Amino acid sequence: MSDAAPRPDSSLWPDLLAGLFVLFLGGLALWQAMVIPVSPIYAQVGPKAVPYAVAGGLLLLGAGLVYAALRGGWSWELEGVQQAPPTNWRALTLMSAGLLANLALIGPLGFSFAATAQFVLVAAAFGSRRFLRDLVVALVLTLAVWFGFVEVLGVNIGAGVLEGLILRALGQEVP
Amino acid sequence: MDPIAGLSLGFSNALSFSNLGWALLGCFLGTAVGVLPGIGPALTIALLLPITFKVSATGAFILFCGVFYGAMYGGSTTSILLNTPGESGSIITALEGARMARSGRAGPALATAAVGSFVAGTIGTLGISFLGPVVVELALQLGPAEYFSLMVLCFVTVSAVLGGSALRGLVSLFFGLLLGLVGIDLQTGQPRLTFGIPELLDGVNVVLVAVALFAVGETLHLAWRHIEGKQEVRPVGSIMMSRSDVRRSIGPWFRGALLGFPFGVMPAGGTEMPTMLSYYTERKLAKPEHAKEFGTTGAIEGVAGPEAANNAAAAGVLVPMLTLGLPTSATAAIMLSAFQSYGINPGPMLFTQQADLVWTLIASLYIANVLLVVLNLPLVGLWARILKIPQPQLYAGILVFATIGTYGISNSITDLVLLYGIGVIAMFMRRFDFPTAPVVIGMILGPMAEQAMRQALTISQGDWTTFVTRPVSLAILLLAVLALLGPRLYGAWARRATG
Repeated sequence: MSDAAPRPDSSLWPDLLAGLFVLFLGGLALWQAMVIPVSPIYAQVGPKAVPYAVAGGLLLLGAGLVYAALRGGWSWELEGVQQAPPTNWRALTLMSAGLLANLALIGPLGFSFAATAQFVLVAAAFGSRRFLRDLVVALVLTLAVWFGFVEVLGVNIGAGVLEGLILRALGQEVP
Repeated sequence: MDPIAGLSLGFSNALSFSNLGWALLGCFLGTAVGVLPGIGPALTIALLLPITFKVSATGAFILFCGVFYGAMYGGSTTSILLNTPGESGSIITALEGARMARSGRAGPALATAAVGSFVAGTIGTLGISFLGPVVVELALQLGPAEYFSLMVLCFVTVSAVLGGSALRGLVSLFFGLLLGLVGIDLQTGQPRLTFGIPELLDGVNVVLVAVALFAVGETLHLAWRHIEGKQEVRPVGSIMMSRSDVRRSIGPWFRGALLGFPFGVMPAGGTEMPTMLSYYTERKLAKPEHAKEFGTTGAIEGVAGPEAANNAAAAGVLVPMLTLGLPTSATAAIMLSAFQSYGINPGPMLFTQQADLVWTLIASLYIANVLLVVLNLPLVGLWARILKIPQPQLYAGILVFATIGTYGISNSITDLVLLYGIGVIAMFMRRFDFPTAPVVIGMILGPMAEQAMRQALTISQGDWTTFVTRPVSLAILLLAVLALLGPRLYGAWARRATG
């Protein structure tokens, strides 16, 4: 691609890191393949063969990516990268906060509260400024989804604080 | 069973009240998720997988296939009205479709896409009905060694032949194979790649991986590059096609369908290639007075052909899935895991052991096609309204579904941590142009390939040459090598010829 924009020097690093990550994954797989206990059950091919092959494949492919990165990389040619707007740290931070809030709250408070917190934060990440409306929408949606999954699909999700209150108000047993 | 007897059995089952209900529900859901940017059929079917514990296999698969077909119909709406294709197969539709919408002809574009999808879906389903039993006949001759080779071919084609780079496609595939290995080895009972974490003994759940790749990773990537602003939805207007619209569409519909189906059937799968070929064919064949509409005001041929090719290819994907148990798209891989959750072995025995299920499924594909045209043409205004859901609430809502789908697997926080971890990896995969479908395919097909390999080696008493001394197996493996190296050799040859 001679007519493409000239490659900025700083773009070497991201591709190199991607390659190194795949090498790391291969190393992790190799280590885990080595610690598989030897099977007492007789088999022509033991449980280790394929894990070794996958680990070897990842190491080879990772090396290939590192080689490609050192020769100039690939991602600077991508349209999505060339035209990418700058990193939106505000959106990423709010969204990560949403995911972490969900992780922290889902155990003690149950699905609806945790997912509501997540909904409000993710909506804010994407630029919503109507906090109260989002809160109401989120509560209705998460409760509807919880009842849909539990009652219709039969998924077993323990009732949290809010779900328990509603079930009690409806005169049903709280699982 | 021959196709005619099979179909009559299938239709008598599929036309029951509850099965029609499942088909209608599937088509409705499928169109909705096809229209919505950010969710596709793979994610939807993954989220619906818990239904397999409650509903009969027939009902569940009718629902899934309705979603699968419906998403193809819905995808064109987004491409045309929003100019943001939701999946790779509708990128080409957006080229001309969005131009037609800009020049006030969104209605006819949507109509030709819907009717083209119907024509192609019907031709594709006919293809499944008559080609399926033939492929099964052939497949019944194959032993584990041939099966293993076939899976290797499938791995190569889905990861290395399509997409930007063979290297990156293979990395995605091996990531999926790695995820598939986690858990207890079925043959010896040894834990593998569990890092000593007891939650991982059951393996990594496919729902979790699909949600991480298609919902969490996608949303994170969007947040990373988010710019405030609203997208413009073009008004639909009248959906009536003029007589000349119809005349110009008929050829592309049929050509697109006939072009798309074989591409879907081949283990390479993929909808990019047939849609692109159909686009260039129609551009070449268009009359001079219409040809100038290409790339300017939008030519209806450029919507009708690729959209038909897209649907026919999607229908074709069901042939290797139902007859060989080989998934060549992410959606097919997740449907395959639904078979496993019913304890049904996908593969050539499916047509004989589960004849009822298979033929009912095929019959309901015909029904779904009819339902979808009925749902899509008059209700197109409703689907266009779905597009107006504001982005912040849409993505926040998608993550609510992602959370419950994952947390519902076993109420485990470990699963959520894994979900976010793989989600972050998926975000970087988007950034660095690694395809995501090979991850899902590798994860589902990997354990099946390992089983076939170990069976073949048990039969040959540990002799690895069994894969190259059996002629059919050798031929398939050579084909895989050719698929891997052929494009590169051709590229080198072409460079020498021009340089």
